[in-house]
Amino acid sequence: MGYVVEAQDLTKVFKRSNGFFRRSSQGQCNSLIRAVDDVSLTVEAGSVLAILGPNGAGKTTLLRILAGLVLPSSGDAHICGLDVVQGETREKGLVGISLGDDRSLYARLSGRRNLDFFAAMHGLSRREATQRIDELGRILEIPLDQSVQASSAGIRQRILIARALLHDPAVLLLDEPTKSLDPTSAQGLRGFIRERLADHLGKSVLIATHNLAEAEALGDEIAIMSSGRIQARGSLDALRNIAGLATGTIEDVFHQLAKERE
Amino acid sequence: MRTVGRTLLAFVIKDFLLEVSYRFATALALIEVASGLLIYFFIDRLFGQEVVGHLQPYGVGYFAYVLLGLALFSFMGTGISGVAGQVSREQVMGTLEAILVAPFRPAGLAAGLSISGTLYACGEMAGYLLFGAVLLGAPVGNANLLSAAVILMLAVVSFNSLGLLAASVIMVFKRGDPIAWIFQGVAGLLGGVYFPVEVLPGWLQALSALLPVTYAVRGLQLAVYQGASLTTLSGEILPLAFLASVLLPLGLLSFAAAIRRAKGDGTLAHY
Repeated sequence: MGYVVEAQDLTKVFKRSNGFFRRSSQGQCNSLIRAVDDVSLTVEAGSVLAILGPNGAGKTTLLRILAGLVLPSSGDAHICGLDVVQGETREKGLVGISLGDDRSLYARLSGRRNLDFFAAMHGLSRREATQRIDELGRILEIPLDQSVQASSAGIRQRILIARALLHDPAVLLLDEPTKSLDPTSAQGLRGFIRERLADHLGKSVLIATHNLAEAEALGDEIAIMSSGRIQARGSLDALRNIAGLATGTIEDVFHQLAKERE
Repeated sequence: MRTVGRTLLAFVIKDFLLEVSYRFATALALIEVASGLLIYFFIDRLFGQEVVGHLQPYGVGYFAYVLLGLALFSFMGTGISGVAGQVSREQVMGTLEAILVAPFRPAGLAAGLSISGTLYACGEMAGYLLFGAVLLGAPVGNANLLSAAVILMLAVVSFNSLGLLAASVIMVFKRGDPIAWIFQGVAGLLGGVYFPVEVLPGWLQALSALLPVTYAVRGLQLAVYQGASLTTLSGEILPLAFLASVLLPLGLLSFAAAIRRAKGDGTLAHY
């Protein structure tokens, strides 16, 4: 099976100001942060890659690069054979992204109004948009006519996922999709991602999470990311082998690999 | 074409619904326009509605002159600050990235971000004229609507292009808007908004010739109050068209470069 997502040697170095009057120990006003460091990865159609790592590991930056929202310092990425950096994947609407920031909705508008606006941005006609929004609203159990600011964090999270799915992208990038959800809702959403999106609709899903159980439940493969690098990648069995463990959960594997890094 | 129309309409509907969701602010904005006009109406009454020397080419008193000047000044303000303000609001609301995931070219995004401001400015200008003409007696009966429309169209392109330059600055630096600071600050003095530029000394008149608002104000005054034809207004239309044709590509290029720079810096969502 061909790869839907292919990234080669992706690196992103951010220049961050130390402040107007402060200099680094090397006497520089700016410091360099290597957020993503030489990352290569592939994802097949219909499979879920869970990117697991602590805060600041570079997961979100990696997703933003794949969505074309951040330009890499070096390396390249292709989705369905089209160049991400040149904006080809964006033009074809191949990627949907949910960055998990529920601030990124128009809070004073309803879920339906929000989704209709973004459907128009993706070129859906009014009729297509209405059908799609009703369908997603039903599947994701979103009260569409309620204003976003009156909605719970969980509902907002569902609207964000619905927004990422509006234009029926081949690849879905999800950043901490269950972070604001109660356990029951989180389980329901994981089921939706795994069964409906990946298994049934054949979407490729990259999901960034620091939730070990979520990575284990969702990922066909798990990539453990730390300090901008993918430290290990594979199925849970493969990761156990890498960690030198005969048995154990993803949590055991994660801690063992972290210990080895230290 | 249909998709472009739907996209622009979606921006208009979204911006309108957000605007009217703050009813108190909308009402205050309307009151502000009315109170601003009343000030100049009473200044006009104070000086006896005389058509003084420098106003003779327009054939109107001070209130009628300043009515159009203010309407266009406000029009320019919305054009220049509107796009930058919209970019800034989308950054603060966190929606800019979500919009930029969509298959937009910078020109399409620029059109989407400026359409609501342009329509608002047109509505505001209509409000100024209606209020001034119906309630305060400004003489708009001779207006040449075609000439006025052409002047306004060129003004929209020029002002929104300056707005794109301002939005580029906001996209990269997040705050501080030198374009609005320069053009709006200077336009009040040099653009013929409050008084005809002929009042100014020669060297300031030379500077005013560099501003699109100068031609827009004079052209609109003559089109509305004197019914001037397109031919008569060639001295205003041609320089305005030239400035628009220079500023538009400059604005679009700088906006595209600013988006690329923000993506490179990873600061699209920062504010």
